[in-house]
Amino acid sequence: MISETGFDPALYDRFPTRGARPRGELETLAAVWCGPRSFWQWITAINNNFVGVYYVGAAMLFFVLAGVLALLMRTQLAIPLNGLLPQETYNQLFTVHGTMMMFLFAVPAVEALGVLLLPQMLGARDLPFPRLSAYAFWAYLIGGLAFFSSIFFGLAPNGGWFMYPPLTSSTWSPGINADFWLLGIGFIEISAIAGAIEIIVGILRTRAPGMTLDKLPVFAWAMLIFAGMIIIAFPSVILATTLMELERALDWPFFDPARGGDPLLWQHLFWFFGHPEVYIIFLPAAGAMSTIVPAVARTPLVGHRLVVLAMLATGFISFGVWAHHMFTTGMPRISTGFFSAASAAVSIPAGVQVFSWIATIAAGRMRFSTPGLFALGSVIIFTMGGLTGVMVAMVPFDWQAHDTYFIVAHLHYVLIGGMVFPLFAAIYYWTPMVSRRALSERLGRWVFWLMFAGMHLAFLPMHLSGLMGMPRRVYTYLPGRDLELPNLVSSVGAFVFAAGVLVWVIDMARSFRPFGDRTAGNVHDGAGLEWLPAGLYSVRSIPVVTSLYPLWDQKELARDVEAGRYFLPRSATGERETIVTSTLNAEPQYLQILPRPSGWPIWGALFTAGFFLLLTVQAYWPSAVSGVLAIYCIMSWCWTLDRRPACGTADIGAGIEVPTYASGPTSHGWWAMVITLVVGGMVLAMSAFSYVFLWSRNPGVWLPPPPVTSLVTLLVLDAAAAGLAWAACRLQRRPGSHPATAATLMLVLAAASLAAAWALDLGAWRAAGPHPTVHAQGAMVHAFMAWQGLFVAVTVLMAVFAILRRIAGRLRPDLPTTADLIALFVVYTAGQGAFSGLLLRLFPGG
Amino acid sequence: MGRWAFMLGGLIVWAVHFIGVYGIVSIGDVVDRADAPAWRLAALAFTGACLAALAAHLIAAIRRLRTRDQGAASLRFMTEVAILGSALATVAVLWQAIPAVSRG
Repeated sequence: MISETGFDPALYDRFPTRGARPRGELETLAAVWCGPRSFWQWITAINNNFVGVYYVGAAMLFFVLAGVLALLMRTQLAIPLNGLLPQETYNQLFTVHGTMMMFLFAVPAVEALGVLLLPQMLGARDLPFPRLSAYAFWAYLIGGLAFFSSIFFGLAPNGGWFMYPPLTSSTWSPGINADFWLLGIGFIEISAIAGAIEIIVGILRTRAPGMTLDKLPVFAWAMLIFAGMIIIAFPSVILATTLMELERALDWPFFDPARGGDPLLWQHLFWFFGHPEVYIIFLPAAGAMSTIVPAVARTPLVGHRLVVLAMLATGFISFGVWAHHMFTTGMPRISTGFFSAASAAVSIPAGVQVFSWIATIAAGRMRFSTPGLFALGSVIIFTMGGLTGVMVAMVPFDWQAHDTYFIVAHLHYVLIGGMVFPLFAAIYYWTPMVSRRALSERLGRWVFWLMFAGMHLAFLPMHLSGLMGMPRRVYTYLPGRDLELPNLVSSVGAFVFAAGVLVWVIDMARSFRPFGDRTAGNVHDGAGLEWLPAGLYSVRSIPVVTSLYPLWDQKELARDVEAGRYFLPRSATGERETIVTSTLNAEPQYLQILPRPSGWPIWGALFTAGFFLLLTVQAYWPSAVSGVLAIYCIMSWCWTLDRRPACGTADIGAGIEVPTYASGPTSHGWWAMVITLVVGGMVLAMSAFSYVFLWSRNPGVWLPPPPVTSLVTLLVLDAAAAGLAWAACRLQRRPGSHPATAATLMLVLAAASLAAAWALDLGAWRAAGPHPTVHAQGAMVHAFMAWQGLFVAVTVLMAVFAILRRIAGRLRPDLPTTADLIALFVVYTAGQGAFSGLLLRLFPGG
Repeated sequence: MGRWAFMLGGLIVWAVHFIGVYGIVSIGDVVDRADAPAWRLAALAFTGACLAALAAHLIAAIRRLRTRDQGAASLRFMTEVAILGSALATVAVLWQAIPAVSRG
């Protein structure tokens, strides 16, 4: 076998080791990974066993709360001219329902499932950035609760979950309702991106040795693609919400056609995120299905490679279908043709997965346990939703069905079949992994049948009411139009569905007992590593994986893992640690020291939430204070990073020694920074699209840019910053204190150079004339400046951080990671500044 | 990174093709008419270039599969996914180009 890193695969033959492990080893491991003992420790817990459960719990709480709103809406619509809810309240309810289901339930729920399951599934002790997981969770919980609470004060957004302007502009939506959506969702997306970074690095770098890509569990594949899609798609909605908020707060007319803007820009940006969002939700659920179906059918997944390919293909093509939500906006017919073709093409990879599940069920001996029922129900419902999806991908049909209840029916079939039922299958399937008791099979069947029947009762008639012309988002309808019966049936169905959810809540209350010393175990005979006996430290020893279905094919695995006969059977350094492996072949590279619990991520999340929420209610000074405190907490958190244990190498089992520190492209921190910068790059790319799009709407009236001489200065300063950062990295590694001090100074100079470039560029544009409130060109230019200014500000903070670390002796030749990451950020910022400068001056030019 | 790009090569060409044809007709919409013959031809020419790239990728992947050490499980897997992806992308690109030749 070819080695990827120089690691000799023959070393795997040393495992499982023989002989008994030393006494006290397991007790030490348990002590290092001990759980919380006080209330504060429960709050500051960062281990995935805790944060994962909190995360799933919070997502399900939001599911129930959003479901209650749906019941109120269905009660209102049960009979014509019902007076239960005033129109304005109804508008707020459907907006909050849709927003919560999409942003506070669907994406976080699958992300939470990943945080909970992936470490055990991959054979890692924990994900590589557990404090980032905790930060993401607390930011999400606080932001989500604040968002939901707005409904009790009449401050909830009311423009629908996709918030189209001009309805949501300050002219038509005065007050702060829309701001709650814009700032709240923007903030929650940051949490989702943080989780995605954690998941990507976790899957690529912390797999059990031997878990090559062909042995990577299909759920992990799904989560990898899911997280990659978040990194590509979510920056678009962050940009959209930022532009809208800038328009509302500062009167920058991005979406105002009277001043060169275009409301269609919002639709492009929103749906570039919004349609992939559907697959972002679907893919992890499909990954769960592809894990559960083989277990309940007791046979390997049919067409594993094709399923992986199908998920990858779904990830790609989902970015080419955004405009199928815009068929009625008057786009050129040939453009709608391209989007229609792409939309129809999505059914191929989705179909591959559905046929794989059906074939697996047919090939095996299906057990109709609760997870099995939910899996089967999912296939039926999702296929029905997929078929109506192909219908609405056809432009002439979409013209008829657009914004009617037919679309409401279609999207609920897709989302409930593609995500909710698989999630319930996953909950029933994996609960025994984290709970002392499995959930009740008897109650589970009630849950399934009530939800399955209720789902069809509620949404099947909506196809008819839609085709009969009932528009979505109306708070009532007139009698005598044959809409009474389908609406009444839908309302009854909604309550039947809710009864199923209620029975599930009762089942959870009766049986779910997490955080104990033991679990119910592998009651479904699953094949993945997550079913190995485990504690808070995950598995006792990290196995060598030789099969896609290790527990089925490696018969003695559980016994040997529990006996400590594989990798890392102890704490090698006395700290929390996990093995970092290579991306393709999962060869051991180094031992990562994981952090202990700390309050900084929680405080950081609290103050970050405070910053956004106070900004929403226009309490600017308290918001600024909260922002400063958030920066302080996050810097304090970062202060404890980049440590090197006293021992340079550690024995990770069977005499195999690996380093305890790594820097550069090998290190997990470098990967996280690169992915973070990809997010920044996507925002930049979408900004460039917005700029060109707005120009194309009205090219004749754009002002000429500043003289090209200012561009030369800008490019020279940006190049100098990048060069200084690169040189600082090289210098930092030389032994002695002087090179380290010089490297620090070079980083400071690089930051200063970036700041000077930005200030000169801004000055040149202000002198040239396009004012941000007068025309969309000025608004876009200033948006670019604001984005670059944000990066420059972070660079300056990083420079201050580097100085402090140098003074404290934490920036030295044997700890190069901090300087590496700062340099990486500086080089990106310089590139971003140069790109913006070139684009704004050369296109469309003077 | 190169290996990942090779594995995803077919799908990347698919994505580039989509963005390309959409971009071409969008430019056409600004300067002329989106469905004017010149822009349709440009979209078709771009489709031809993408199909050529897919063919090259497919051939390279098949050759790599034949010569690759059978023990390198990850690489074999990636090459197989590359072949499947390229084949799928070829069909998808052809399908995607239909609006450029239809009268619609």
